[in-house]
Amino acid sequence: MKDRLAADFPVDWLEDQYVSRREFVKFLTLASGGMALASGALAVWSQIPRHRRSFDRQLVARVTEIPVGGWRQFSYPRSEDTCILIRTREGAFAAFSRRCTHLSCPVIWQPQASRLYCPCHEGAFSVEDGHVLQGPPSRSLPQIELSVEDGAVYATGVRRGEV
Amino acid sequence: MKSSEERRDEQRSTVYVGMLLFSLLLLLIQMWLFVATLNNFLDGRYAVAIPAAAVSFLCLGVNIWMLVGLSRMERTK
Repeated sequence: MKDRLAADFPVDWLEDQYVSRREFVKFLTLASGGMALASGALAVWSQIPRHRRSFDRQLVARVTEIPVGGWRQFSYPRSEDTCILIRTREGAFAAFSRRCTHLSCPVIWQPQASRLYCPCHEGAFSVEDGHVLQGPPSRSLPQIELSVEDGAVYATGVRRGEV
Repeated sequence: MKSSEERRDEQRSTVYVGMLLFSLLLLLIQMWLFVATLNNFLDGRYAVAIPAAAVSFLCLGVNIWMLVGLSRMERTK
């Protein structure tokens, strides 16, 4: 049986599996080309502007509903993207993503310190533009762009935090 | 006593293996660069992407140059 098989399929197994050094170098160069192309694709992708994105306008709250120093949680732009709207002073609102840029714990508004605080690892962000004040986060909080019209606060877009 | 042709073959073989290992090292550097760039992307840092791509293409250039050199070396054998 074995002899018949060898006669019908006269392939030398060792010879068939043999990879010469030249073939191996060719393979390495091909893989190197693949890695270079992948890195090039990342470089092109890095140039796509993604700092600011506009989404559909969404009503967040009426101006009268939030006192000075008060806050409200809302979702924007998707239902799972929780954000916080803060009335920092009379006529001034700020809104940020509630997800800490370190490990995604929800940040808390601390009016006495005028900052957004993450209790998980003691990170803190400025309420002015969301930049990091302290702790392990390396990126600013994404800021929600707002517009106030006819006594109502609307969310209009998301501005990603700078490093 | 080895003939001069045998000794030349041995030298060629050593050079071949050395270049092969160097080529492998360059590929590992490229992989490391790619993973580091991806890691930075996930952290929102995009500034490293272009230098990493430049170095990666440089490694590819060296690899191609070595492949051409090895092919030439085999032809002259």
